[in-house]
Amino acid sequence: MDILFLLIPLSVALVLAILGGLWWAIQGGQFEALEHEGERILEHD
Amino acid sequence: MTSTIQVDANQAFDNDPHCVDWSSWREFSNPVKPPSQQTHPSSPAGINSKSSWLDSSSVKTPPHEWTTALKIEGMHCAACALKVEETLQSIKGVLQAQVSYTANTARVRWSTDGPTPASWAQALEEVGYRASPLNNTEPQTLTVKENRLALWRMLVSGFCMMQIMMYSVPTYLAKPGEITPDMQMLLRWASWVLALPILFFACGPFWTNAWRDLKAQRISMDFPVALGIAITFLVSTWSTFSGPEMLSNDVYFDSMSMFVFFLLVGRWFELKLKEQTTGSLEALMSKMPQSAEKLMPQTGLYKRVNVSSLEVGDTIRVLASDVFPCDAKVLQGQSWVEEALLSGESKPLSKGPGDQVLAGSHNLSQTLELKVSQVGQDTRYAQIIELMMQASFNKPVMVRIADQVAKPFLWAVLMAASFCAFFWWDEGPTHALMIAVSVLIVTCPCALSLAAPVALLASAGNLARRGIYIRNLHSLEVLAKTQTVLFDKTGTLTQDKQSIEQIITPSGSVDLANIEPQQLQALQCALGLAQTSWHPVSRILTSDLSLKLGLNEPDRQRASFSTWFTDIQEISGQGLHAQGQLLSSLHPLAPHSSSGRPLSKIYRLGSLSFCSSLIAPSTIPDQALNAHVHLAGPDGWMASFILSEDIREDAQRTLIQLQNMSKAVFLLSGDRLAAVSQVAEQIGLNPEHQTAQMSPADKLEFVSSRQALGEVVATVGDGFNDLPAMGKTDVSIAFGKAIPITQARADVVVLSEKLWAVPVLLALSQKTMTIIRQNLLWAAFYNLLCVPLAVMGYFPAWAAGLGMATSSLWVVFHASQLAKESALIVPTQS
Repeated sequence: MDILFLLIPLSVALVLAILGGLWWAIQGGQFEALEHEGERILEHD
Repeated sequence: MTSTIQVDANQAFDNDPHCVDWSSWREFSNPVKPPSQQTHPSSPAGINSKSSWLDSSSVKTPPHEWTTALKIEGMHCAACALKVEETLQSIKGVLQAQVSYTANTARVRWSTDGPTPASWAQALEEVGYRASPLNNTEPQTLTVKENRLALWRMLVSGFCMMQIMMYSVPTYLAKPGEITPDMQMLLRWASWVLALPILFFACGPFWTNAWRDLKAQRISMDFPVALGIAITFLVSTWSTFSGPEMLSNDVYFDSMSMFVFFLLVGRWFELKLKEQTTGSLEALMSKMPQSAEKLMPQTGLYKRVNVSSLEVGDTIRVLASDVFPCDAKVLQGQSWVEEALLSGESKPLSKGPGDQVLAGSHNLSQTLELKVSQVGQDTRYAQIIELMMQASFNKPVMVRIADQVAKPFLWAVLMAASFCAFFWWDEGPTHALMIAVSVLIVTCPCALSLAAPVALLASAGNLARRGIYIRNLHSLEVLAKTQTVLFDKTGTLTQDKQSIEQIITPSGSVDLANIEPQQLQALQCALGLAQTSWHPVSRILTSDLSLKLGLNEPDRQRASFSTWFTDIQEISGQGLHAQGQLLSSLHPLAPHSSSGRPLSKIYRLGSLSFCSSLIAPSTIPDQALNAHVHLAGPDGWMASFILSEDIREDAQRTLIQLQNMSKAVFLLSGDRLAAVSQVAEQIGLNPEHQTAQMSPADKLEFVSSRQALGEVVATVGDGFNDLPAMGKTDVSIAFGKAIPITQARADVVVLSEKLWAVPVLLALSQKTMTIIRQNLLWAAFYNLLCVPLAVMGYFPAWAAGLGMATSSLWVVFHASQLAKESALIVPTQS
């Protein structure tokens, strides 16, 4: 189970990466109008 | 009175509230004048002069008193609101301060002998809050940035929590000795690393609030929470890093992260609900446009200017799909207008030249050219905002009690936690500290302080969306106990728009196609007198006579009729009395006094008994005897007006519903018995439940007598001759086009003009009280059950966090059903 010594730190790094991605998504306004995306298909243009 | 911020063309769109200059404080904070000083646009001449019967309930305010609204930042619980109130009230010159935690605003009534509001900000900063003037057009719920931060914090804690749980599960499942010490240390280190983002990002508000509490040497709900998190983290860190011998001690990173996550989720939902309720206020406010197209007199072209620079009389242009920036009259164009936000009525109305449009309503189809009639604080729209803001300030008794209990309670919590820590210290310091943390968390009274406000606001917001504005949240509590409902007749049970059915004069019925000069004079007299009064009947006379005589409002010719009279007095419940010079000056045979000046003659417009002193009994034909309004002058009877009376369509349904709900319903009216019986019969009311010929004093007496019987009384009226009664009654509901002072003082204002609003109010208020009671019970039960468990050590920290968040969430969800459409449905029985 020595591989865990690699995997666990890797998972920590992964979570930090996910948090970074979340930050980018939130700042980009992707969480703002959540219903709008579903309705976008019905819009004219 | 209006917020006239002078803006030059280049800065037309600059409205940065953060650049507020405190020296221009008064303009920004929109001081609200008390209702008795508010002037109304088409204020009839003479209304304020001799209304003696208003004195008993009018608002007398000293001349140098102002009311200012402030935006307060940094309040995170009801205890903070109390602290802000205390601080403000201790400032010299401040007469009264009311703070609303849920709306993040404060209203301060102050006199000009004290310091200016700029110094208040400093006093508040010292206790840790930021105050700024409240601009009515500024949104009060969180900005986009703050919303994003709240979401970010919640998600950070969520993801880290999940991963930390992954690392903790092996330690729970493994039998002792199965995991090597190395592996255990690795898992702990990994948990520690992931706890850092939580500590730094997610817990930010807790640290800042706790630090602020420490500096101000007081306590709020965030302090125990911050303390709990800090202790947990430190204990776990120490266990992680102080060497392999500490492996026997548990680490609590999982508890900490779960706790933070649940807490943040609870606050997130509370935020959303707050947005939804005060959000209807926001919806109203955000609809206001910042700029409008104004016709520049010099160039004759339209130019976009800041809305705050518009003045009464300006010509503006509103394009299709725009919002009207102020109350205005249509000059040119025909369009569909939607006034849903103001009256709850979503059917579009057709507006053409001469029609009035209200600020905040939507222009749907065509461009309209308009003349501004009201701006800023005087618009109906601003008055509604005012109403809604007031609602969030008038704290119901229950909430106030909860606020006061919170402070000592929190101190007791800290004491209990420290006591526990000492008690359990022998068994292991880590364990003892964690128990203390559990106690800290479990005893937090968040649910208790949320219970009532959340439910009240949900209901108030829901009603507001239907055009029923609650000015006083406490009245929801009173409405739930109401047993008796009193209705006014004219303008409440009957439609505001009535018309003249028939006019009878000495020379017979008036035929509009063929009016005789004597009849015309009589009509003009009546118009001149009726214009000066707010009485519903006068308003009908004014509008209908103007129509019949072919005069539009405002018309100089129409206004000139009033100048024929001097010394116009309005005697409540009876009519108008004036001295006129009509016949004396125009009639060549009129008697003159010896000095050559024409004699003044008395004219009366009103009920038959009122005019009877001037009329010889035999001169009135029988058919005119039952007319609603009579006009008499120096030569006796001049004219009688028979009005058509339309009852509101839902009046009967409302009455039946109220009777089904076992409420006693009474009809109080100042009108003649014949008219009252007719209306009562149409809606199905017993003769014992109707009254007629009631003066304002009689109505007041009636209310008092019912209250003496121990009943809780609600009065529905337009304030016109029931103002004293509206003041005495337990709940006053202003209906229809109530006079301004009634709208400003009533507990509930029904703008949608549907009588059905009354049963809806009664039913919803009962539901609200039930939910509040359930919430309080739940909150109390949860605390009582969990505290002993936590003290005894059976409540692990993560469970405490879960319990706390769940109880708050439960309270919020339970109350959110009041915000749904279905809450407004009244169960009707067959």
